[in-house]
Amino acid sequence: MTAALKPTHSPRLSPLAHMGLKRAGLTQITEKVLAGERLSLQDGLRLIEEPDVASVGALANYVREAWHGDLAYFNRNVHINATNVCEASCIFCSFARLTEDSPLSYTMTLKEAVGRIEALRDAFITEVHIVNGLHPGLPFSYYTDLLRAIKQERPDLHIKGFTAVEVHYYAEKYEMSYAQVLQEFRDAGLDSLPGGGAEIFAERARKKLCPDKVTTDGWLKVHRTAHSLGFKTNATMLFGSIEKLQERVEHLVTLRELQDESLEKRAVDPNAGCFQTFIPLRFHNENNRLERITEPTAADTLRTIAVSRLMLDNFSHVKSYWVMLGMSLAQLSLSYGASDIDGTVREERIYHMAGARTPQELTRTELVQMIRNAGRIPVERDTHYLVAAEA
Amino acid sequence: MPENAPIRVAAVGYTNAWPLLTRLDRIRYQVTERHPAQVAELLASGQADVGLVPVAAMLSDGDYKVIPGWCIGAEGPVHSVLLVAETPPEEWTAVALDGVSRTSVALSKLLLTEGPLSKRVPEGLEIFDCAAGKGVEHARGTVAGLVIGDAARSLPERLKTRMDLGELWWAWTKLPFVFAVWAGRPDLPHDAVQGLRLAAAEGMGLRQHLPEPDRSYVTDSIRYELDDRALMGLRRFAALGAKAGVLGKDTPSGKVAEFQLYGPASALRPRPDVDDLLAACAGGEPADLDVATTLHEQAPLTDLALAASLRSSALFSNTETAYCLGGKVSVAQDPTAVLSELMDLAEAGASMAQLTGELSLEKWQELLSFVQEHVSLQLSGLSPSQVHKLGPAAQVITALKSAGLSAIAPGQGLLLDETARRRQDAQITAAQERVVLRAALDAGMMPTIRVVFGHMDTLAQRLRGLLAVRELEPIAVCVTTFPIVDVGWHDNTAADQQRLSALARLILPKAKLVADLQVHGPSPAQVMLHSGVDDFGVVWREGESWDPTLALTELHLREAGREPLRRDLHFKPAGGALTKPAWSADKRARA
Repeated sequence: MTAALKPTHSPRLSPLAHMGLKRAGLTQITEKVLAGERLSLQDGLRLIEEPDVASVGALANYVREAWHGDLAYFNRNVHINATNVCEASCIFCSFARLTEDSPLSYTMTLKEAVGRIEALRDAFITEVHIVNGLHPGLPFSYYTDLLRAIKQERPDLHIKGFTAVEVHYYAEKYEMSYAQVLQEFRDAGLDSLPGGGAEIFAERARKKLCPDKVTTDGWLKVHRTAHSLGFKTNATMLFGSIEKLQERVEHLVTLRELQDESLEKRAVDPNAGCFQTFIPLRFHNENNRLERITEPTAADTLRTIAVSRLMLDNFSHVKSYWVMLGMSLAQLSLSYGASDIDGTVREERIYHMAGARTPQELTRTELVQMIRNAGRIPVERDTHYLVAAEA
Repeated sequence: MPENAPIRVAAVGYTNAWPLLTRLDRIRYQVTERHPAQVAELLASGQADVGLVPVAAMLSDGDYKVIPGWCIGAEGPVHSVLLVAETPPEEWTAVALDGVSRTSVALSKLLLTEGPLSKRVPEGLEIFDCAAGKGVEHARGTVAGLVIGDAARSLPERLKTRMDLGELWWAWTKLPFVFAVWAGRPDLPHDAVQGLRLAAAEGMGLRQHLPEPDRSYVTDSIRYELDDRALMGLRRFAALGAKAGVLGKDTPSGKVAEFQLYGPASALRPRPDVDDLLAACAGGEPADLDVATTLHEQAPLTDLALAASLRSSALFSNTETAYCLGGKVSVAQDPTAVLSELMDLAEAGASMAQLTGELSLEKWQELLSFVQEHVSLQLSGLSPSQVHKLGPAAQVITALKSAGLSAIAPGQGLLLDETARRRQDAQITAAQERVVLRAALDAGMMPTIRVVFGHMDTLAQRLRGLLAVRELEPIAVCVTTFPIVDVGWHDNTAADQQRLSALARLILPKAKLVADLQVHGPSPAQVMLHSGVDDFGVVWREGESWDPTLALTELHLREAGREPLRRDLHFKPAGGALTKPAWSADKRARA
């Protein structure tokens, strides 16, 4: 009962879209997409440099409709960022504090963290999303205890937690292999991994952005290991900071290759995991060291979402995370390739500390209304994209 | 499976199922009544298309989907699923679980091994399965038995201990327990799903006609709503059961108990053929009310935007896009103070200023004559309703023009539609406003007409408003939403704005379509450049800076593939050096 890993619907590309794509000189790429052929790095580059975002969007919309028709998924979830104390000094981050003494730093006790779940005892949520700073002073058991305590309180919640960056950090710090860390987390209740920490794979940019973070190879290896252990994972890309457009497309191609590899293994062993959703993360520039850089514009954002949908032909979903995009862009992105707008999200901290002005949570009614007004059909999902409740 | 084929339904004949079944159309739905385990078997073997199945079977057997809306559940005592014994739990040595319901068996096991009963029963308690309906017989001495269904509601006197599983579950989890759901093959037609839901909804209303004690049982003890709380109870049970190994499907990594509901009728909405309409509009045939309504309701957003974008590039250059620098100055101050603010604006590079506030016609004339001697800015001011109040429109406008006013300000921009205005507390009627707009246009004093929608208006009113504007043959129109507040999404979301500006482009044959940077901010305005908007509107001076900044404004234009241009109030080129391209996507491309 997992989401299909290939497009199943037969939408059509309207004559107007054909006309727009022709006007933009994208006939050849259009033909490839319609024939279900894989786009090359060069194709991706051509698309991401195309000013006519409406035509690129229409092509991505075709692919999105081939995968999911008019369905637009959302869920109800809660975020726990158990600590913002973090050894890494990524220059785009507004969330982390280097030490426990820094102003605004916090580390939740187990009781506080679980208290957040307890407080939602009567709320229909299906997922808890856990991402933390790289805290140098906590024992490994802090995390396994946290997982166990959450499962004890709400066994029905799917726990999606710990980015590859965290997994790598724990492996080094506690002298374990990635597989050992992941296995201990699984035994404690972890169900899947989020896609954070990928940032941008290009070494040039990565060195400047997040020199202390796991390398690209390390990030990929954590996900490869997680897939082989049967975990579903997500993948992200932080776009709009100092990377070149080409580096965005390369990032997508790298993810596509790992997904190919994981899907091949999955064909042999159905219990193997794979990537589920790709989430392009829009750079925010407040309260960090990149304030001089302009945040990506709407056209740049929508184009990146569209190109992601077109390049990632082996990913089921491209998610536009409304917390970062704002509600207007998230809504529009549903016609530019995105098929998921994430959840009601309670208690998000990371992007709000970077100046995201979106509300702390959206009600279900608001999400549903926003999807309907975009001409899409809302579906409330669980983490595995199974229909969890009526929308 | 084919639409309208008879649906084979398997269900239990218990009283608690009656409300779900009684209103089923027995021609469409061929109902077979069996006990729970047999219902599950009929469904698993494909002899039934849908069944009122115990949730344990739904979670463990096939690839089913669950029908939303209704279930058989309980929040607290259910009265028909009991662990019974002659002795209290502390003395039990064994428990016989009647295999007739796997759900009750799994629930009993959870309650006895992990739930509240685990703390009461002695260690080493034996749990064994017994034949269907034999729970009562086994329950003797220190052996307890599971009894379910109507039998549980008429027990022999000797069974003094009667523990209600619904009540125990509630004490443990504070959630409802779901015993059975409608579950079926994944391809069950949507109308068959809907039929079951409708029948259940009708059946609910008939419960009061049952004789007692059945009436109290189905109205008070059974909880039929498969709502958020019931779904939470079901998810909790699935998770606990899978972990304990008593529920779910076997996988190498252990038991997995997942379920999903039937979703929307179809994933892909039917697409009415509006290609010809769109092509005609994109080719320059202005949309009338019928066409615009059809397109609004049926055209996908992507196509509507593309049609508008094609129309826009046929009408105007799509390599360059202009915007205007302006400021607002209040006239409720000394004329020299007004002049000083105007001079600051001119100094900052503005090409126009909008004068705001109320004055008599004489005072306006005095002020305008005074300031325009000293400053070369184009001045706009007075809304159409202000003009209307000062006297006959044509005369007032001529007087203002000769005093130096360059344009009438767009004003509130309420829809030119009387029915819409009645609800909007408008200062003048649509007819009166039309007179002012006509006079101002004739005098060359109405460069941009504003149209605001999204405030208690209907689609028809919006479209009639646009068509009324079209009759005036305006030079430019700024279509904008009533500002969105953070909460309360209505029909003025970004998608609504995009749809309406695209329609405006297709309705108005020649006018420029102007973005409203102030209401939307640069990002949504940028998106609208690809759905019919031809001009970026006015960047206003706020205090000591432009909002948005010139760098940001021009960045948004460049990243949309447009070269920025400055214009004046009347869309003529205006001077001023453009900003250098900032570090942005187009720079990144070249980096």
